[in-house]
Order: sequence, then C-alpha cells, then structure tokens
Amino acid sequence: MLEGKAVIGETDMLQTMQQDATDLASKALDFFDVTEAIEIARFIKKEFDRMHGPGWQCM
Amino acid sequence: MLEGKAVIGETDMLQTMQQDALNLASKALDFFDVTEATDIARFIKKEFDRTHGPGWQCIVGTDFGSFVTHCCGCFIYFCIGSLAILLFRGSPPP
Repeated sequence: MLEGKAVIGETDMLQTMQQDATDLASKALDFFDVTEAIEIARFIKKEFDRMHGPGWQCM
Repeated sequence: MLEGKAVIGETDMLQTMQQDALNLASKALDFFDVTEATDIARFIKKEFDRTHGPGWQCIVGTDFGSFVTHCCGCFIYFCIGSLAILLFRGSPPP
C-alpha cells in the first residue's frame, strides 16, 4: 500500500478531490504494475468521471 | 529537419489535420530541444487552438500512458524522433 506517499506537483483542486486522486492512484497500484500505465490511467479517469462528472483526462 | 520521420500510432482525425500536427511537431523540434517537452506541447496546443478552434490538449514525453475522452475527429497520437505526442480536443462538460 502506498497511501500517503504521493507528492503533489501543482494543483487547482479542492483538498477532498486531491485526496480522491492520490487515493485512487494508490489503489490502482495495488491492482496494476507500474508498467501498466494505460490501465492505471483508465482506472483513475473512469472513477473520476463517475464520482466528479464526465470529461476527465488522465496521462 | 525531421519531416517525414513521424510515425502515427493512432488517430481519429482528418488527413489534413493530421499533417498539420506532424508539421507542427517537426517545426517545434527546430525551435526546441527534445528535453523541452512542455515548450513543445505549448507550441503545438496554442497553434492548434488558433488554426482549428479552442480546447486542444497536448502531452509530450518519452514514456507515458493515457486514457482520455476526446471530441469526434480530434485525436492523434504519434511519435517523432525520441518523443511521443498526444494531441486531442477534450469533450466539454455537459
């Protein structure tokens, strides 16, 4: 589990939403290997579309 | 000059617009070094906003995965030199 290990570069986002993003990334890394970049991006983007409305992009 | 050296990975874009993207990337690499990924991305995005309407997004790098929602007819992913370039117009929120 990598909770609490994310380092935020820049943000323009509510604290709760930031936390959702870093939590999802951590969760994604429980499911996927670091080499599965597209699966991780898909996981995070789809969950954000579901939770916070459509139109998110993840790289 | 890197004209003709780009390799298209995936696209959902008119041929002329694809060519614009590849030409711009090639032009960007005349101005910037491959390490200036953000400047290359800015150059391409701003020119596409100007020539094809606003709302374009451009990501430049050597190793990334992505998953995006894009407007119909507004997506291209290609490689030029050592760089991978993703250019798309994101769908506006409803």
